Amino acid sequence: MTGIGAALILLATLAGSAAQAPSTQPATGTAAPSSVSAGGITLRSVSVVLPESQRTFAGGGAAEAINKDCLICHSAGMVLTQPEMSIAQWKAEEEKMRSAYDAPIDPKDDDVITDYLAKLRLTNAAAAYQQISSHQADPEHGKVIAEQGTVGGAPGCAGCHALNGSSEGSGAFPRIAGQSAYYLGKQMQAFASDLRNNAIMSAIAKALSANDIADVAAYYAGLDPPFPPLPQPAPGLVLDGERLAAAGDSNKGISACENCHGPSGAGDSPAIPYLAGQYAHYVASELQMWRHGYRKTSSEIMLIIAGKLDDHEIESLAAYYQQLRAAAPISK
Amino acid sequence: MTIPVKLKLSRRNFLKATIVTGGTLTPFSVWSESNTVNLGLPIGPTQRELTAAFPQKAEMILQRTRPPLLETPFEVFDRGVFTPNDQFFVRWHWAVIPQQIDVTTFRLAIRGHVNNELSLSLADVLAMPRVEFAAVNQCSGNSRGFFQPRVAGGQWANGAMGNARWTGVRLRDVLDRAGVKAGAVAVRFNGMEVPVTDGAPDFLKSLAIDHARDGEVMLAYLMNGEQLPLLNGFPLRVIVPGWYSTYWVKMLNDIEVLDKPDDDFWMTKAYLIPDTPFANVKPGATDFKSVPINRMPPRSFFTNLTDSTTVKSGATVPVRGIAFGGDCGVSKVELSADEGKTWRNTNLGTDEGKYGFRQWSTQATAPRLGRLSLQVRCTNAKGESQPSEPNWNSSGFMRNVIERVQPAVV
Repeated sequence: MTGIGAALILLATLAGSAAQAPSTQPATGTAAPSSVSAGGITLRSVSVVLPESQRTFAGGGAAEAINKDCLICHSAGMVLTQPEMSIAQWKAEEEKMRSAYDAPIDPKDDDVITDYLAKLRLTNAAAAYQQISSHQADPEHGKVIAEQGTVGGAPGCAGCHALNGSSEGSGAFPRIAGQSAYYLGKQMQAFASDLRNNAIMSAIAKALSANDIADVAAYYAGLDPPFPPLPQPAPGLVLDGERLAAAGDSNKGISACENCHGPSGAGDSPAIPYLAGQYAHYVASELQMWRHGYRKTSSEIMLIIAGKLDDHEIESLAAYYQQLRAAAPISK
Repeated sequence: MTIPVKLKLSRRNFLKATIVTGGTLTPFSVWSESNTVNLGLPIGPTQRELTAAFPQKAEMILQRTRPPLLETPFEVFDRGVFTPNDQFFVRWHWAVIPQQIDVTTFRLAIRGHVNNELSLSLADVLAMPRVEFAAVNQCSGNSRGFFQPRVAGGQWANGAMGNARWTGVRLRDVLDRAGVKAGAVAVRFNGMEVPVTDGAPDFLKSLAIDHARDGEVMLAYLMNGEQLPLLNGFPLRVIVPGWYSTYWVKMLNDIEVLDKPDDDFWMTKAYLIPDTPFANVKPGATDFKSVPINRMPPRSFFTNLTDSTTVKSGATVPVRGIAFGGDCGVSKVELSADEGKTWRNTNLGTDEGKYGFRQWSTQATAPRLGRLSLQVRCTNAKGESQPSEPNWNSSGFMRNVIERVQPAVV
């Protein structure tokens, strides 16, 4: 920059402008504020009260760490309005907060916080989808599709998933009753676009229109049939699964399933599916799909976690979730 | 069982279902009031609460409550080139912000590599020779929310900027009063905000000694003729015309003259940009030198039209907005109605000073059908024009791409 700019004006007539008293109002107190005057200008003392944010990160236990460690320095608003970020990006933010800005983040909370933030992306996406979806889903039409299929060539869903969504008991097909319409619709779209690979489901999904998918998803989301009786898994397996689901494994860097899927496996509708009562065979086979990189939907988070699981852990988790029943009714 | 494999999922519907156009409410956003604004950010949360809950502030876009990040609703910029104090954007780094300022006891320290360390009262400052000029104060990350790929940070739309008439004293005069010793290298500013934790870096910014002594850098005590709102830095704020807001330290109470380069966090680790034209790099690139952010490039905006404005088929549409040259004046503001193939000059409003906003205005003719597609481009007095492609860097700094608006024809 060079010298004094043309815009730089010496105020020869400031006495005139100083006649305008400052309009700023102290927010509290009634006594006239103290002031300082010189050269025709008066500055008055100011006392204000800044608003506080009552907002916390929702999610109960899963949000305990982020509420404890992050809200000390800043309110939640800006975090909740971040764009979609990968776990690696959130981890970089977390590390910046700790190393550059001295954030008192308990190292134990590292993964819990980044898992929570990565999950936020899913819940944001679900909310956005629901906001913009203009089709009013028709569960009655969905039931017709489930029963009879479509003229476009899609067979009825009931053949494998049963009309009540509990699926036949082999575990080859997941229980879909009461899973959120958003989640079911998203999986169907993933099958249709081959993002999620399954010879049968991809073909069916491609034969359904977007509205058909929404209708049939709404139908199955609204059901709450009883769980079929299944043989009890080995108790040791269930205990191992329960331990891993509740606490994860910090040595292996496996975060707890409950961070996202909830303490009773009820999921977090609409973005996060329930696992309670899901067939062990299905859960195990999907975890293996993620572990080996074949399943690419449902975000990188499952890819990362499943990649660290061994066969025994997968069997335990599957056994645990099959016999679990959600404490609260599974939300639609 | 044979299943015909036929793609019946309409591509159009699929896109509709996956592109977020707005109205995003996160399940966590339990807002006490429904008064919100859609910032039009590409993908992800784009809705924000409007709030008048902050002291000395009218309605603002709430980006964060603590420390406050408040954005100016964009329609404010259509009302004139001076941004009202009560709608001027707010950005603080640390949550411990004094809520009381007693003007009778306030002191400004000048210390370090000087002959006489000073402790000036506000009466002392007011009694010194006075200067006044208009200048744009713009956050380094203004418009960060429009970066693609998206980047972390405050997701501002275009309202983290404002123009005010600043009145105060020359920093040079204050420094001369203390007597800068030979060998001084930089001048560092500290305000009264404090980090929450002890180990966090206090917010400090510095200017090279020659810049600090250029006779333009100001310590302002009036903003648009009134004392500054507390959240805009009352009682004293550094004004660095033509440079980004990060240097405009608020609630300034400490000036330190350094005899060696400033190696503090806020000059060496934060607010860095790629040393490339328009701070532009390819996403993922690492092979560039970083430097502290500094001068502003030119920008221009539409203020009376948005993508959701409707115009009558074939009508003559008044088109206007604001522009600024960055670290020099506006030379011209041009409009294109043919996707940038041809440009024509617009009329420039009163010149209120080379560092301030300049209004521009013209007319356009709406087509019979579809949308009116307009672009605006500012060229500054140094001959520098806005680029047609958006810049990108991982901090979301220095966006100044040519703006586009596409009102619908009805």
